[in-house]
Amino acid sequence: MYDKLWLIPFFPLLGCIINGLLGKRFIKNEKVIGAIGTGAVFLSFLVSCKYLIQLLGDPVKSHENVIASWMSVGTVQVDWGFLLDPLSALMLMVVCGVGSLIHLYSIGYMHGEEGFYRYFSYLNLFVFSMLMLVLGNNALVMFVGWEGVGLCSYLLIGYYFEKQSAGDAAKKAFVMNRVGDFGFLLGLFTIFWTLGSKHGVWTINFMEINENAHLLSGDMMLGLGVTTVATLCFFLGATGKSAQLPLFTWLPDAMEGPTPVSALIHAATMVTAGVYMIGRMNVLFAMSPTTMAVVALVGALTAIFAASIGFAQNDIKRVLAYSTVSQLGFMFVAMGVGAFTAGIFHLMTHAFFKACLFLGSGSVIHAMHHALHHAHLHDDPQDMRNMGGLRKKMPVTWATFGISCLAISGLPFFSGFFSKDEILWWAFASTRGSKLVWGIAVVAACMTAFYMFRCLYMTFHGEQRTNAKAKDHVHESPWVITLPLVVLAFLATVGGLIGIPHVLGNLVGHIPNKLEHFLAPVFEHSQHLYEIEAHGTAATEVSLMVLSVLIALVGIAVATVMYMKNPELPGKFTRKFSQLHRWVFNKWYVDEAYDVLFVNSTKKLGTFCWRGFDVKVIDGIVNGLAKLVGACSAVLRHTQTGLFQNYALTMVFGTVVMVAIFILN
Amino acid sequence: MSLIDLLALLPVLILAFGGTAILMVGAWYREPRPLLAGGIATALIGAVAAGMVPPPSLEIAGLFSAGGYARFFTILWALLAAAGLMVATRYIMEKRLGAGEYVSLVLYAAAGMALLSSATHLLGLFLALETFTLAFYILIASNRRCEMAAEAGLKYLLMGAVATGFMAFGIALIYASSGTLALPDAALRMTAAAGGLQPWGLLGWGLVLIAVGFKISLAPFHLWTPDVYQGAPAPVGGLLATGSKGAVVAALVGMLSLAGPVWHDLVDLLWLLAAVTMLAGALGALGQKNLKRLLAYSSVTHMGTLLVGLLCQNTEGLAATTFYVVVYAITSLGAFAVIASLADQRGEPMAFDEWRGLGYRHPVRSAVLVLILLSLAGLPGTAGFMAKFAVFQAALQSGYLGLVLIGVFASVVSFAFYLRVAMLLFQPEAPAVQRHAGTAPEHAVVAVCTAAVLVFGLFPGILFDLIGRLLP
Repeated sequence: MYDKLWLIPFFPLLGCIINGLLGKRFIKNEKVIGAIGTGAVFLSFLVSCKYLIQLLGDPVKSHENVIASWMSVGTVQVDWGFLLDPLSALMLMVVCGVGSLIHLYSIGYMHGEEGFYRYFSYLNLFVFSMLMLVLGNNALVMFVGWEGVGLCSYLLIGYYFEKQSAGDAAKKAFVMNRVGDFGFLLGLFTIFWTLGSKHGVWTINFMEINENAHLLSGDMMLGLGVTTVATLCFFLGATGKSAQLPLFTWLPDAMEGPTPVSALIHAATMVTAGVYMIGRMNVLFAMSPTTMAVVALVGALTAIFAASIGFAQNDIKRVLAYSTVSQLGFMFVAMGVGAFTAGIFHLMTHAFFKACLFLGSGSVIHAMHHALHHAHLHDDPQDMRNMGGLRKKMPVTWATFGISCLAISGLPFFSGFFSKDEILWWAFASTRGSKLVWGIAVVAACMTAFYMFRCLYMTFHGEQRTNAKAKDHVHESPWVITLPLVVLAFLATVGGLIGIPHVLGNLVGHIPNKLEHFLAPVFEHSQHLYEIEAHGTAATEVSLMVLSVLIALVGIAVATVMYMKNPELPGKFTRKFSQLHRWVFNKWYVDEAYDVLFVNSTKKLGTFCWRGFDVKVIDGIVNGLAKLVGACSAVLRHTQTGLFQNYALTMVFGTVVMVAIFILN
Repeated sequence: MSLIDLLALLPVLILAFGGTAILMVGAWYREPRPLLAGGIATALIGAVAAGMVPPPSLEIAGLFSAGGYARFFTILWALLAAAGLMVATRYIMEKRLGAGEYVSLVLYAAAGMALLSSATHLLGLFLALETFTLAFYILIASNRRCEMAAEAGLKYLLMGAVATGFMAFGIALIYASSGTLALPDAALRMTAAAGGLQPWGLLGWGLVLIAVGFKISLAPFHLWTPDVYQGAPAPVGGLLATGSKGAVVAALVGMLSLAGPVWHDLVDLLWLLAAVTMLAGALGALGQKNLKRLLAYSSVTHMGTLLVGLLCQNTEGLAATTFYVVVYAITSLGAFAVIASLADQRGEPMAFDEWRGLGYRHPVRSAVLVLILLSLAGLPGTAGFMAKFAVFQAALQSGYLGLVLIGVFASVVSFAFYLRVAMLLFQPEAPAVQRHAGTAPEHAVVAVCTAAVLVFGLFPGILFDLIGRLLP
């Protein structure tokens, strides 16, 4: 029944190998390379659809498919195994669905790039790794994917490796992710070791961990519960991968990569891996209220912190990057207050509208780049101060971008509305929620609406500020670029309908919350067991809903006043609060603080190890030995005279020595 | 000698009589191609006969064995002769050498090596050793017009004469102390007698060891090696480096497994020889500026390592040694085949300056040469690594930690000189001149050797299993 699950990651791997090995020398043709890359992901999408439909009609909701044994050490058995349950099925749809669209888009966007084959090979490798992460039935297979996506992220951020900034950004992303990975491994070891040594269950299989998690409830470690220690370590891993405080600074720099990469990896899929991981291990997290509180608070603080930085950025992609960090914060709020379904729901809707926004920005950058290139100008094609008034020139891009802005701001009946509202409601009313987290999240939601509309207005509305020479060369992008935009905008509009909250559903009859029902087999158990639920009257829920819509409208209104009605206002504000503006513009100097605290001291240590220890001590010894050996060799060479007499003499001498040894013995 | 003995000797007879027939034909008919083809065919038929025709008895006239181990090496040396002839084709035609003589000499050498690997009697050992050594004296100097080849031939002859003297004297002493030349008894009776003659017998064994040490160039009897390798044409060098040494080592393995106790008295001596040889080879190679001389020193180091395996005196050690011999033979042949295939009217590329940047002119063969050199150095993934690993592991189990440390040190040093050649080949600033494109037979030999290096490096189990079943 489910024994062909391996096909899903197999196709992208195949695509990666074909394009990677044959792309440069043999295939060469961009269309063929693009078709192979896109087709591979689309095939995975079709297989995923088949299994999703199969799963929907199946009373049993979790299926494992082991294709081979990986290692067997003592009682520990690790397999190359896949797990299909509603959670992974939903992720498959997001990864393969959005992935196919972004591959298609890339054909147009990357047209004419020198490393076209390399790009598609990496992108397929990324999809493969992400699918391993999502499908793995044990923590080690997930970790393979976890590291794999990190690697691909590194490769793709550094795609333009001839640029110093791209190389630096790639390195930064990799190192920060490694910090998180360290946490992931520590968490895994903690669980593995405690379950094994104290309870005799040596396993890293997710299903088995979940079944045996209750055994851990009494165990202590470092003065905290074992589950708290382990889940905090896991959460550290999540902060790295999903760019949360304090490990978020790599994501904005990751915008050095091509824009479709930002859309796929740094908005829709990879950065949500942390959220997915918490969902996968929800039983462990549910056992530790402490960790959940930390998750919720970190999520809320990240949401508001990143949103504030988004206020002052002029680079269109950076605005979106901070917006992503902020939205990921919302997802962690959801996970932290026990609204696992809402978190995964927001993950999905965010994948739609944020991918659409990134691809829209890519479309704009593409057009700007060509226009500026045509006019031989060196203006920054990503700077919104060079844009404005693009609505007429790029109507499709504008419409889809606008729809996504409405969705992310949480206006009613767009997808973001349902998911964000569910999160806010749980933050307010859940047994694990808190009013503080709710308050911060509401303010962040208002700020989101503001900076997104600021971005929309600066890019598409008002006067066109592009250099006069390039002005008329800005055109709408080709269909391979606009088609994915339209599809994603459509999904961003209606995608929320699968998760209509009960309170709204009850208003207009009995529309069920389909998503909650679908994901229930994964989350219900732990929510029941650890009494995680949101309780409150329908009136409270509806009034909170109205409040959050109003607050979003306030954000939009402020943006409209400042950037549409009175374009001189932002300048005035900047001058009046110049100090504050400088802090926000420079991202609260977090990077600089990290430089002082960690980077410089690490570099100094590294320099010492290199200059002081390696060069002087190690190299000294090694080179000294080499010189000694060379000297011996030079001495020995004198025996090689080329004269037969000497050779014979040496032979006789050797014989005499041997006979002497005999006699002495 | 009965009919049964003759039948058991069939593969060697095919090689010997085939060689004689070709020599006769060659006296009248001087077209080289058919003669070479005939030689290659004879060698292949010999190999097939050794593999397919089961011997009617396991020993031949009390002088040689016809067991699986002997047959295995008979096949190997017959195939080596075929490969050597394939590589030599162009050399013979370009230098206008007598093809009949050359082919017959190679076949005689192969017959001698096959006999040597199966010797169970000191007389048989002596005869076989002389058979192929004589063939090599002539082969090395086959191109009389070349001064260096003539010098190399003369040096090999004179040094070989000295070694033969040692050997004959040693055998005489052994006979005097034990009263027999048949192998297990020649060693066993000596200890059983335990009389005053035993020290003379041991001295006899020591002298035999010296003669053997000359053939496989153990230090300090190795000094002829670089000169002879340099002077001998690459097709002959390939046979000399692989067959002549491998056959002697195979004989040593045979002797050791038959002549157990006496070797215990020789352990200290062998230990010293192995250590000195590994160091002398590695250090000697370090300063070389000529690839063929470098390969000569490399062979010295390898023979020292082989001795380590022989010292272990257990099945693992013998299996590791045999594995090492086979791998070394294949790898070395590959190296000489690459050199031969690059030879043109300017001669063979030898000095490092001629190799500089050759990787850009002949990328495939240069890459193969790098692979072969890395295998000689013992890079994991190649057959050379597995061979060294097996020998050192067996030595550790037998408690020769000191030798293993010296061996590893020699290996580390050897990486330095092998990698220097690899680096030279791909130095971009000085692209070398175009060399010969090579002929199909040459490419075939190179390809087979390369494949074997990789296959035995990745799946050493194939060869180990075979050897495990064949060991006497």
